[in-house]
Amino acid sequence: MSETCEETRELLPELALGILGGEERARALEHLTRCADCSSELAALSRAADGLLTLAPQHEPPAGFEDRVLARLRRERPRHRARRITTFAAAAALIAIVAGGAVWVGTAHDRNLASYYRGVLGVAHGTEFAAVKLETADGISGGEVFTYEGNPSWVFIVVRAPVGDGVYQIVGTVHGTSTRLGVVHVSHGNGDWGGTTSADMSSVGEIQLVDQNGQQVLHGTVHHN
Amino acid sequence: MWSVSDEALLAGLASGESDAAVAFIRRFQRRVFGLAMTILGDTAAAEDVAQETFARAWRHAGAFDARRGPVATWLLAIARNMAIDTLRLRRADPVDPDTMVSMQGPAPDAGPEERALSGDDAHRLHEAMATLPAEQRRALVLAAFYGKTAREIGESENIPLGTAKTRIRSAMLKLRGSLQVEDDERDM
Repeated sequence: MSETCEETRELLPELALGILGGEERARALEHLTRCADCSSELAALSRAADGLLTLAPQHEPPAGFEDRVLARLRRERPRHRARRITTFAAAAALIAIVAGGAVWVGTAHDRNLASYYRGVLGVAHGTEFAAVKLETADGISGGEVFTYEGNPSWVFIVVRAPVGDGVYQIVGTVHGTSTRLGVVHVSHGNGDWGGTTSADMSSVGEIQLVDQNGQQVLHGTVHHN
Repeated sequence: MWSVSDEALLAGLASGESDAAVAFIRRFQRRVFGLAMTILGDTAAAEDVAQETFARAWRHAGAFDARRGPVATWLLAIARNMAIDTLRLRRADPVDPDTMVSMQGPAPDAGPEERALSGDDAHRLHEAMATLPAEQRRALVLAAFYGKTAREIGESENIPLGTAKTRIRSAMLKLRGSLQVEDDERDM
């Protein structure tokens, strides 16, 4: 076991419990992308952490609970089919601006929108914001990635089913070269990661999510202005 | 209906079969609501979390991977994460973790469905929890059920950060070890 393995093992119990944050979490995830042994250890610890939840006392919910849940599922059905993007305030706000710009009719509004968009980018010295849908090889939607070229440049990714639980590398093709942008930990069918990057986001082409065996599980292509 | 597997019910829920949805809710509601009540200690808030847990299970059923664990733990992990989010928003103090120390395993008179739901892991983990030193058990409960970080546990327990981390790690390794013993016995 390498020194890095030993350091990571110290962190895995907290990672399995979902209470590890910041730099320690990033360091552990980074190591997990290339260490199958530590990944197995994380899986074993996660099984224990999740299994603990079954020990909580059971409790009968208030009368009518079942009917209220069913009514809610019926209400949400149409929205469920339409919804593609989950919640992440800052990125979603920018997306609304970009998407709105695509369909808005009227030059005055377009000019206002463009001006507003430039202002938003200017807050962090930005020149470009892009949003890309990520899909499996079969064309099934599995997440979104947002890129921002500015100072600093950053990447934000959201991953969901059908991507299985695990640790994945986010790889971008910049000027024809594969560049690691970050690492995302998918747990219980959901994962997200955001961070700054020194890569040139105005030149990134394809973005991929790659598993520990180097297999691509999701990909998307960035379209630039 | 009870003979239908959890996985089949989840698939039925996802595909919009109302019978499956009813059966799924009935099978898991006491666990989901119980966990939410344990964490939040408030009936209305716990019902909100429990309702949203079932809605999310319905939306994200495709994310369930049977190789990574049973439906019950997947569902309870969703409930736990939402209850912790609610707890943080309300800035509420967690219920005294000592009340969790008497956490039940499956009742001795539990029926076959109940035992199947809990699985062997629950028995092993229950036994392992009982053997932990009290301070390790407290730290683990604060982390696993209330989402408290090592730093927060250190502050609330008035111990150094390193001690909090050690307590959590020691407890988790013992629990993991108890499951490993089970697997080894099964393989023999």
